[in-house]
Amino acid sequence: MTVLDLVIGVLYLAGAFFNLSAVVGILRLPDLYCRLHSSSKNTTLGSLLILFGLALREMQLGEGAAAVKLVAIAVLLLIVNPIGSHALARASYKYGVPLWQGSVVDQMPGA
Amino acid sequence: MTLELVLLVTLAFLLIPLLIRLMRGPTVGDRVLALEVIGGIGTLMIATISLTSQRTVYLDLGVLLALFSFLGTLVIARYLERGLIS
Repeated sequence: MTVLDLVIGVLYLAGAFFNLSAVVGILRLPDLYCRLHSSSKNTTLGSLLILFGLALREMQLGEGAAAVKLVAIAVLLLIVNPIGSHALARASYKYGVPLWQGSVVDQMPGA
Repeated sequence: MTLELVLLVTLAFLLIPLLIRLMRGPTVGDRVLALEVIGGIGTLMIATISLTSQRTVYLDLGVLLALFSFLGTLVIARYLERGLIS
């Protein structure tokens, strides 16, 4: 049980917590836009934390190439995840998915 | 390796609420969102499995899953927005 094991465990725990909060938001929030708001940021951060934890573990085991590949997956997710959420929200708004009735402001009216 | 097995079980339990949302999402966007998040969690699970089973080759499958999940989301969003894909 070294310090590196502790750091890896903390990274796993934080990543699992952010992914759990994203999933709870997807299940419980009232609206598609609220669900997108919950999922995009939380899954991005949680996936990054878990992938960096896995990369540290691979470096501890002496597999440098696998660590580089895990960091590449992390960069790919960091680029890809917000783009997908943005495209989905824009397409759903133009398709006519209604806002939640408790929404305060619509900053894209008539589009 | 125990830590990674615990992480794998936790990620597997996170899939259950996403499947519920996939079944009863009121709109198409909810279902696409659930599929996208399932793809992201599946990528994490593949990366974890490639560590626990000591096979580095499986990481390429993780890259492919992330990329094709994103492409599917983008194609369905474009179809919802314009009514045609190309």
